[in-house]
Amino acid sequence: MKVDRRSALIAAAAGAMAAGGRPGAAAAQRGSDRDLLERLLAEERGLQSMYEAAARRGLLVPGVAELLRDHERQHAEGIEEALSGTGRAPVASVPSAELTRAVSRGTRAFLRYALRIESEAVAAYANAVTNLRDPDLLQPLGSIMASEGQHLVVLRELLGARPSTRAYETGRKAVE
Amino acid sequence: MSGGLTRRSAIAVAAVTVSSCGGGQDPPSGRGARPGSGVGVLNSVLALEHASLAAYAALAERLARPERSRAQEIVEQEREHVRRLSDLIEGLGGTPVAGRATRDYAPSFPRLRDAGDALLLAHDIEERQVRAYLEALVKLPAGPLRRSAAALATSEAEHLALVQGLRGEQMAQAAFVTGT
Repeated sequence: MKVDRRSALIAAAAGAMAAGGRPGAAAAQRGSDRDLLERLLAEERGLQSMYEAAARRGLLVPGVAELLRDHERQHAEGIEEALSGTGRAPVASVPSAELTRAVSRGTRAFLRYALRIESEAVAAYANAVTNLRDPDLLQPLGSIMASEGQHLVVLRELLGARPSTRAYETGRKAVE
Repeated sequence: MSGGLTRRSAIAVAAVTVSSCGGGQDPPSGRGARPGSGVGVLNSVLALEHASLAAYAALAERLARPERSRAQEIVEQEREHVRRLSDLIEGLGGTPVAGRATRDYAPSFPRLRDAGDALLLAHDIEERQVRAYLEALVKLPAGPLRRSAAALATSEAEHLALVQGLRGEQMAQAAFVTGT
């Protein structure tokens, strides 16, 4: 059931971007949507690295870092699939020094860092769905934004904070 | 399994009951809101929010602390959703669909024997609301209304995580939260 749902979402996203391969006036639309997806992919890779680091150091309750890492990997795969065939150049990501510091300081420092990064990811998705031109990408990206919201709940719970703090969840931008 | 379907149907029926008195399609031109403005879509999700609030009032009676306090936090946020949706609809020149008294929804709710039934109903409500907001996202014009729908879908997904936690399940179960 979950696999079918996921496959359907990835297919929808991929189909939407493939349709953008047509020449003509769609070029500008394709370009701006591609830029938004590239930014989201960078966010997802950062999140995946973050949970991978937590899993390696055993910072969270067993299984949680691995579960969240796997979610981020599936998000990244969906976005990569949507971007395939758009002529994009591969972009390398550099490990964050801030992540290294947070991991080295232990569980609570990591959780606070993870909450900030997840919140920035939610903000990035909120920005994307506001500005996307291709309507076929809206539901797949909305479902990923919802997933990142659930990650916020998990992290707040682990931190001992009130797990659901905002009735209108738009995340927080890196710089507001 | 059939119980779940019955519960989901109950919420949908309750929402339709309310939306039939004002929600659904965008109103014809000349009545304030422009056709295609999104008022009809927003009123449909507002009707679902009203029905969900009534369902939470019923299911909270079957919960003890600390589940009941957690449900109350969700209810406060659902009320905030109603306020936000109503403001958006009025800002577009429309009239927000009104909720009804809890007793008017009650006949369409399933029988809740215990806390397990109550949490299952809460789970179905949140799944349904996530789905409704994601569907609204596609129907709304580009810009801030879409941002609002996505923010509300994410809030409902957070409630879903809370309810899953209360049921002793993993809070974040799937990489793609689509609702049902």
